[in-house]
Amino acid sequence: MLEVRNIWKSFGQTQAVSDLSFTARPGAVFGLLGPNGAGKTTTIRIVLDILQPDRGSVSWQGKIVDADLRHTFGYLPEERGLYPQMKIADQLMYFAQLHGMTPADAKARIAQLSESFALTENLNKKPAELSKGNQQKVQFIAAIVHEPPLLVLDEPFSGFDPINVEILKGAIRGLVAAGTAVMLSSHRMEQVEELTSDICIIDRSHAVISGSLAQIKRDWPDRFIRMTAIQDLAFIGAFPGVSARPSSNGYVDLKAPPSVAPADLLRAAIAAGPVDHFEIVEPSLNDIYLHYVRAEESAA
Amino acid sequence: MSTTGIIIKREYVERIKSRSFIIGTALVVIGMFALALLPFGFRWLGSEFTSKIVVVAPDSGVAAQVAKALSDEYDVSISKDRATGATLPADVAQAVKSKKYDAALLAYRTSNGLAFAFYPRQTGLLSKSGNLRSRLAPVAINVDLTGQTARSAKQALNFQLKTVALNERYQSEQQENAASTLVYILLILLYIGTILYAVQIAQGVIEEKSNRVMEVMIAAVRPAQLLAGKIFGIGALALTQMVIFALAAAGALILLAVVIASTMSQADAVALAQHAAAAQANAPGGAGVAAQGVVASAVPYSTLVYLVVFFILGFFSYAALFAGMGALCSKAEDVQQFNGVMMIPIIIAYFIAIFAVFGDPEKPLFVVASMIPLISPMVMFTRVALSSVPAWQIALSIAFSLAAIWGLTLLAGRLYRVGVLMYGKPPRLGDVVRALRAPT
Repeated sequence: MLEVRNIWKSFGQTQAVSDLSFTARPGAVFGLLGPNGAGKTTTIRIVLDILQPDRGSVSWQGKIVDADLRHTFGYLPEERGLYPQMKIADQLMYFAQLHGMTPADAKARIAQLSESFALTENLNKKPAELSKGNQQKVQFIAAIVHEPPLLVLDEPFSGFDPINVEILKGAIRGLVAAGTAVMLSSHRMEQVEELTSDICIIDRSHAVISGSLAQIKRDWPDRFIRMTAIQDLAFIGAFPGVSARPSSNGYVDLKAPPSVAPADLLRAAIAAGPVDHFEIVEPSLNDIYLHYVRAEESAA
Repeated sequence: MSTTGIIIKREYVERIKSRSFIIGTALVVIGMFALALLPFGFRWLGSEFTSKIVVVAPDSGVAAQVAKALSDEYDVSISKDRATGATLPADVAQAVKSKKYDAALLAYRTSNGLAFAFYPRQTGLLSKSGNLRSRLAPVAINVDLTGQTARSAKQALNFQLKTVALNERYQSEQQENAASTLVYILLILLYIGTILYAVQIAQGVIEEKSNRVMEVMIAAVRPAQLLAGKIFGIGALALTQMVIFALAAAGALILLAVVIASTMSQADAVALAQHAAAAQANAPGGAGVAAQGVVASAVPYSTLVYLVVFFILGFFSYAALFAGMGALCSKAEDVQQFNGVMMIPIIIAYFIAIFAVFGDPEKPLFVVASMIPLISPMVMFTRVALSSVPAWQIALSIAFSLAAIWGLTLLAGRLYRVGVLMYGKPPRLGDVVRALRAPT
């Protein structure tokens, strides 16, 4: 288990990370979420021992992460690159060996991974000869070639087209099922919601909420209601704190505070027009994110 | 293999496979062989001019034989002075200095037979003594074998021929050759080699930063390992290229010797070969032996050893400096502005070394400069190649350089650690200082 305890980091006058704590379990995906500039990449670099925290500690399976330990981790940075003049097979072999694999083991693993990512016929090409999607797959393979116990992904889906996003998600699910601890960062909630089981949302260096995503949703005070979009939404004016947001394909999403009973809303809605759909839904990760990050911003 | 070893291997293998390395190396090798063939061209050009030589001999018979042996290539006059010993008559020396003649050739008798001394005024004539020896060999054999002392042809061939320049600057052929030509060429090699490979290190660091491989690397390995891999990988590449060039230079010198031998008359070539055989006892005859002689006499082995030692010292000093600088830049363009500053010590060292080549390398300025790291590799190399430097001075200079390499590498490692993740605008001096002070 990765344990990050009360880490702080500043660069000159800029506070990048303030008192951040979280854990990432084997066999689960931990999502570090937040807007650009919130401190996600700095946190990841501290986890990987690239940067030293001013205060606080990072440990893996009870041991403080140092160069020997982080060398077993897998890392897919947000800014990705390959050696332009080096054949794909050679690059993957290089990264595998840097992570301590023997050439024989690395060769077998590369063959197996390139097979499952449909890259076998590209192994003898140079990066420039590959499509962008295939380059990204190579990069992902480079991050997991040595079967890391902890895989750290910084904005893993940025720049991927939808098909490759699905391929990548499938690969991540496979690794999680095999017991890998995955830590990813993102500012695109809809892309990571179905993968993450634990989250921490950070905004301007501070954690605003963290914990099990299912628990956060269950404990969420507001009700999210999806109902048929009727012409006249004036009825919600009678319920203080209720807001409406038009949704796609003929629905409207309502958000109601705990003081409002959904049954009362339904009665009022039926009185206002024909309603054939009325559903209480869990808050989406995006709703949670917007709640915290927006609130912080308007407070500032 | 250790992590650093894996990185060294990649840096080395990927570069040695690269088209630019192969083409660049091939061009230099071709250039060396082209230079070896130049004497053909010079011979053709030189045939327009005939050097005037005055011969001073113990008697008219010897004088006539010497004149005959040289007459096809030189404009030969016989002096009315007679040689009584190993000293050139003063009026003949004066005649050469006053440009009446280009050189004087003194033949004199010793207890070991006939001996010669060659007194050229033109520096260009200095390189002729090999050719002279082969031309004078028949004369020596002839005079000594018909003389009163019974000698074998082998002994007669081993006659003495010394060269004394009448130009005041150089006292002997050896000094002049070793000084101005060889050391100068080796200095240029040292200068270009150091700059070329140091810049390659800076470029290698920036390449990894600009294509963002650095992000993955820095998470997988320690910055120090990355730095060491880069410096030793490119250092190994530099040594490989030097070995290729050295082998090509040796090959070119052999070719040069063959060319010289082939342009001589058959008799000259045989005489040269016999001389070489006599000198080297059990070596096989022919142009190959002559070539070996040329190669061995052109470059003293100790000079080559010092060349390698001081190249390595210079390379590692500058490698650390340039790696640290490369780590602070994020684009190739940013390096340009730093390169100029970083090269100042190399340029200073180069000019000091050149002054030492053409002046007295034991002047205090050069002695001091040969102790200052970054400058010392070139200056100390010049001193050891041209004069006898006390061993403790060489040891001290090397020790200072090693200490500087240690310090500069630590500094580079620190710059590397903070610099490799710095992107964006090129850093100013303030940023560099801040980076060095940063706690990480």
